[in-house]
Amino acid sequence: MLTDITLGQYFPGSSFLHRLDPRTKLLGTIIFVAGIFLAESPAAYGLLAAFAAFGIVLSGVPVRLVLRSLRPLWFIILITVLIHVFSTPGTVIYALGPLTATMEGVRQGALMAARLVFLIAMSSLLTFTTSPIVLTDGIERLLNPFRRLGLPAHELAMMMTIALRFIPTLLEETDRIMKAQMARGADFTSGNIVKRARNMVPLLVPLFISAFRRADELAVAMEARCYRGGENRTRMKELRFAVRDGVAFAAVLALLAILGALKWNVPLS
Amino acid sequence: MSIVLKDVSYVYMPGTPYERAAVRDVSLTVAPGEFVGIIGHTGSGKSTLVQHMNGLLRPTKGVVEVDGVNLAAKGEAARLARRKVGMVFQYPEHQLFEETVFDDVAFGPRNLGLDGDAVEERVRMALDFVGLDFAAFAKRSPFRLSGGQMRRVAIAGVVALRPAYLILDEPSAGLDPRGRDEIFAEVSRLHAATGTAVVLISHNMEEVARLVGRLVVMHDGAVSLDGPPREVFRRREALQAAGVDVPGVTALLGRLAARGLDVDDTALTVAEAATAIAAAVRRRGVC
Amino acid sequence: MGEMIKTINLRHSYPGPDGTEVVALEDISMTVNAGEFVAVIGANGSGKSTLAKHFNALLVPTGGECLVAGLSTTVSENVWPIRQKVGMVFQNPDNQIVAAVVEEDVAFGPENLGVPPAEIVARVAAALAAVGMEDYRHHGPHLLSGGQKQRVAIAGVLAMHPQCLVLDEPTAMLDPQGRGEVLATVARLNREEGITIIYITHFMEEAVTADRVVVLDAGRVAFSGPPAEVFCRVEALKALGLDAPLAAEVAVLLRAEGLAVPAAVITDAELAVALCP
Repeated sequence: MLTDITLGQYFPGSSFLHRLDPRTKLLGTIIFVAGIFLAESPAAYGLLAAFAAFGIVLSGVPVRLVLRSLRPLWFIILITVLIHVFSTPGTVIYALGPLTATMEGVRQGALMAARLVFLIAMSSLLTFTTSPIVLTDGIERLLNPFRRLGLPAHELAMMMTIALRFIPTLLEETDRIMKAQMARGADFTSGNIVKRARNMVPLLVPLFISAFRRADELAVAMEARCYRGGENRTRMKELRFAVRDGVAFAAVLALLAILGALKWNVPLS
Repeated sequence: MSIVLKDVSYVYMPGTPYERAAVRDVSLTVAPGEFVGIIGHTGSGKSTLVQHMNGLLRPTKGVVEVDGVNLAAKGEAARLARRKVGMVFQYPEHQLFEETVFDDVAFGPRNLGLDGDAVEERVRMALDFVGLDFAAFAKRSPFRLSGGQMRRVAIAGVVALRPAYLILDEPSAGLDPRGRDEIFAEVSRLHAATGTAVVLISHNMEEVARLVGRLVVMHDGAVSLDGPPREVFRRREALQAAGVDVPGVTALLGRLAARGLDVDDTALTVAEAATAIAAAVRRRGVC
Repeated sequence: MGEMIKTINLRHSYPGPDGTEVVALEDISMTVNAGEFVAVIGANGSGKSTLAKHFNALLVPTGGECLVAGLSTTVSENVWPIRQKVGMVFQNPDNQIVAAVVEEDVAFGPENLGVPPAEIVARVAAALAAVGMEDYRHHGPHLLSGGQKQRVAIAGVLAMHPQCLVLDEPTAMLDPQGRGEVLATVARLNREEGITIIYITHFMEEAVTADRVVVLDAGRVAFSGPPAEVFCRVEALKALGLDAPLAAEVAVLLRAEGLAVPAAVITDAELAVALCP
């Protein structure tokens, strides 16, 4: 059943990471990612790994779950590794026709894989510890300053909010229409791609019509509740930075500084 | 020859924190030509139960047979058996998708592999049953009809499959009194004229009481009462436990009886009730 | 008591698909006083929803006038004050809840009005308490029953501190339990908070407790009056495709049988009193 799909990957909890301001987590993740690209030496990678491990422990999210979030992307990681192994010039350790694997390639590939793993793990940690609604809110506040440049920050956030609200409703509806058409002999599972695509028409047409009808009714309901865009709007929940946000920023900035120092050989004392 | 459910249980999302048993050990038989009403409050499992009757849901435990064929079996026999059971979901007009009424009603028959003439004959028959004139409606877009008409086109789309058993889940939901009366009249005409067995889920106790020959009350995933409507509606405590209202007529007669009027409380229609009340009042000799 | 809503020869028409004018409402003159509970009934297509949308300036008359608390809906500066004063609840519970968390949705209206955050928190709490949904403030709306969703929708309107609530067939898609919940909530808001209610429905049982009933047919007011007067016109209601309350219908049949049943009997309780004094 379609509604069995759990949405997003928010892992409810009240850990230090859960309680951080979403803006802190968003910016922190960005800074960490910048750090990843500064890392070159094994020491730098060790530091990143330690920091990521510490974050996971602090979040209370089971390691198993974090590792599972890597699964959909293992293929990309594999391809990246292979490209590096076979395209980096250096000491040849294995030759396959015109393709040659090099020692340097293996090292490069391993480092690239590590970078990707860190990147995915940390962004998963962000979505594990932040509910989609809070995340949307954080994105809106972060983008707000760019409104003057014409960026529709409020509208983007409202779109995300409504999408989050209606995904479960539309999934339920898909399930119901699918069953109704199957009861009339529709077949969604057999045949080649062209046939299958054509067989989706009895599902997609009603779904689109329903989505448009909902959009229409929702727009009227929003207007009736005095919605007129982001101007002069207040919010019930004010985001406020707390001491823990300061601590988190300090930690992640310190990480960035150390990685920078390692890269450019700045003495650390 | 019947729909037979043997010890059917169904669990939603097994193995997750959201696990919930929607149907527990239900055994039920729907005979050909029967008119069965299923009532029960929201969440009592009635919609889940009927979705087993044409194999849309597979029981977590238990067996569903249609005319002796196990629906869970693989192969042609089970597929043909599932086709004998037509299913009209809640708000069926939301499943319309074709450009014309004709094509939408023809969707099912075409999936059965029928050809041009046979399809048209099915469409004519189905539109006739739901009270829509073929000449006037066949070429129109289903999306330009009134809500009640769209609902009837959608029901015609299922009737056109000529099911031996027709299941309707809340066919009158959201319709005004006139639309509701029309839908129920068409369903009972179909039952009378073709002998199609009908399983009707409804919150509308008046209509259920008037139409069905047998009433099944669902409570907490199980069948709590099963019998002729007159008998079921007398079991007020059991109905109350199941969270089901009695028909307005029954409630009114109960209220009069509670005030001391010695009235026969088995009436199910307004006319029957008035006759019973008048008789009781005359017997008492006051008024 | 002041006039909450007043329509004067209100007419609403729009161009149809073939270019001709379609008249949805014609010559509607009605007044709803502050604190009243008025039920509007009529078959599908009688114009009840179109009329409801005029009370909140979602539609404006193409002829005549619609005044809300003395403000004309055709004056564009009046639109936002009117929408704050008159809240609307619609038929489909799913399509009027904006946010993915109950309390966020209730906060939506006050946020649009620019209410300060601390006061929004207080208003949300009070509104959810008023509809008995305070335990669900952190729930996702898709996990609620139909009746609960409609109560959330009512709370979302209440948080805007309206003087009047217009409900457009709020129970049409609900089961009997949900219908009971919504009607009880609305009746209590009218009784205890003095909020004016305009309640559109085709369930006659829901209209018998109103102060006044307006019957619409084909875009016009067919007749109106206190429920006791409107609902004893069983034949007239049936001719319009509507039901009459059961007790009124039985009373008509009993009179035909020669029993003396008073004309104003429209509820089971009244019939019981009339028959068993």
